[in-house]
Amino acid sequence: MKNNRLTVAIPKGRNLRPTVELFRRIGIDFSSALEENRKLIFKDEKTGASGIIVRDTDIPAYVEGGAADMGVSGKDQIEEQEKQLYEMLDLGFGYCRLVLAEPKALKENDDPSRWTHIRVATKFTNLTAKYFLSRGIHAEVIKLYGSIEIAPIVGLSERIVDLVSTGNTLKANGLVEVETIMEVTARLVVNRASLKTKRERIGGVVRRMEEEIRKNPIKD
Amino acid sequence: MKPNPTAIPQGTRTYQFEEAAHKRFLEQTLHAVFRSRGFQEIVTPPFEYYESAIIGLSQDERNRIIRFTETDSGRIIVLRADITSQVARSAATHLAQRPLPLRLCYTGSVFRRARTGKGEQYMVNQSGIEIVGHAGVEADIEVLLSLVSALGAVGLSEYSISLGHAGFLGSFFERFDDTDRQTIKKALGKKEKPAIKAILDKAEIPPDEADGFMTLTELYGGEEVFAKAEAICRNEESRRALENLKTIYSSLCEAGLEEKVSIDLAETRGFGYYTGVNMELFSASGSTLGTGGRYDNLVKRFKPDLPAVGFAFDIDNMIEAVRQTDSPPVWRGSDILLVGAQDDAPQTAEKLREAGLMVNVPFAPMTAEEAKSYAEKMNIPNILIEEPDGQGYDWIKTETGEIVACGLGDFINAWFSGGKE
Repeated sequence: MKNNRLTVAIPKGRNLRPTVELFRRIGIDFSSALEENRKLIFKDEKTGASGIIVRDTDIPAYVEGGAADMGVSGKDQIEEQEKQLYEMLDLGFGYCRLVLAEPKALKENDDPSRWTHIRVATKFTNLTAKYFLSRGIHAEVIKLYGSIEIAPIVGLSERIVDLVSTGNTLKANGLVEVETIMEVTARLVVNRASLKTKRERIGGVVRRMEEEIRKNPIKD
Repeated sequence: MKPNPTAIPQGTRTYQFEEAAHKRFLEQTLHAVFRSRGFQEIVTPPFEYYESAIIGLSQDERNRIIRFTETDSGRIIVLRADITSQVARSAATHLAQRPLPLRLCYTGSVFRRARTGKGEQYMVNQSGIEIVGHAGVEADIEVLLSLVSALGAVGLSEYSISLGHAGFLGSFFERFDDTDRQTIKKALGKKEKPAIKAILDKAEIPPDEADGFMTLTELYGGEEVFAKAEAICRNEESRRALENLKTIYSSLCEAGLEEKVSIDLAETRGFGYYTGVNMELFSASGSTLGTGGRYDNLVKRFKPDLPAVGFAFDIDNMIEAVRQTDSPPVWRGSDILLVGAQDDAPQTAEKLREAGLMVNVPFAPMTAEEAKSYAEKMNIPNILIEEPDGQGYDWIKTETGEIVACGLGDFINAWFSGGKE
């Protein structure tokens, strides 16, 4: 196919810098993503590759829909959204964990093996429901969009499922971890059709990235 | 809340005017191509018994079937989720006495519960072909060439066909238990190396075999894939599958399709019943225009053991793709709006219709202004307004507003000498 231009979905937030660094190492300059000019679509003139900056949670949708050929997305969102994507590389950066947490006082007398029904507040409704379903526990999942940690304090739910990296936020809100549901890192996701129609270009990018990461992992 | 009488269920749609015209254009053109290659049409019922509907479907597909109960018997009836398995059943029963191979084509909708937020439809319109009773590679090639010919007929020149082979992957999965097999298939479908590696480590697969497995995720591309794949073949079945795929690939290249065809040996998508080559067709913008493959074990579930291969286009994605080309199919409400002044308008309209034109005759008289406004809204490019004395017409071109005085014969002549626009 004639169109061999590459469009990359770059996440806002904590994975922005490492993503720009990753592409810099394979010769694609997306440094304008770091400028304060708020431009959300730009082009690397040397390679002709375009970058679009979107919310990290929206990366799978952009890539599945073919609006971008590839993107960098956290494993958490990939599993939550279950989009049809190729998930070609574990990029190593953006490490955090998806955990189930509850108030410290509750934890002291709690026995997770006896749970039959629990109430959980989370952003990750699909992952949470699936996780508990697979263990035969009925989870009443309450969808929240932020400040998940306060849900147990104010009595919205007994427990929460959320991402933690340092654990400080949990601690500050009197919560303790009960279980790790999954470990999360950033992944290179690729549109299924793009891999076939632009296979040389994308195959090359994937191979070079894989080498770069193996030689010298990218830090957060 | 008050029920909303104008709501329609999520995932269904109404096609109107232009959309409906494009849908019909696609279905008609695909059908004509299939018929021109000797395929016979088969029309199967839109609902059927659950037990027969689930044959060949995965658990996830079964869960998404839309079902209800047959009042008399209490049996579960479902809206069909797949036409291929219905065709297989027909081939095994009513068509069993006909000479083989059967070349069959169909147009119809399949239904399944859409998952929210995924842009899925409850109702998917398909148009497809099946060749039943021929195991040779000729049938696979004929299916692929038919779909290429259909793409040409509808005016799609930018697309890509991805080929895989269920027989090639089979031997790689043998040593895993059911759970691991599902997990590893899923990971392979996503080319997710870390997940594959985790399972290989857990199952303590010897290093050389594990290396072969990891290579699977890289077996996509052109001709060069075959050599890489041969190096990791573990049994005769895989080697045969690869030979088979190579033959198919070469004939497509001979047909000048090298640029359009790619190989992906890790592709595990599609219905579980595929046993041989599997095919997926992508548009330039990356949507799936159709899927297909060889399913040699499906017909025999209904008795006679017949090999088969088929392909189905997704009509809605095809419409989208055709509309995005530089020359989308022309749509117009009618060719002419005929405003008569005398009582003979019906006869005049009949003459124009006999000449092959689409004619819209208003029920009440219209002024030139009214006619123009109506024709613009309904996308009718020409207006004929009869002179009050019945002697000739004013021919108004809707787009430019240009007016020509003419007789009916003049108009028809002008139409057929290229004045159609």
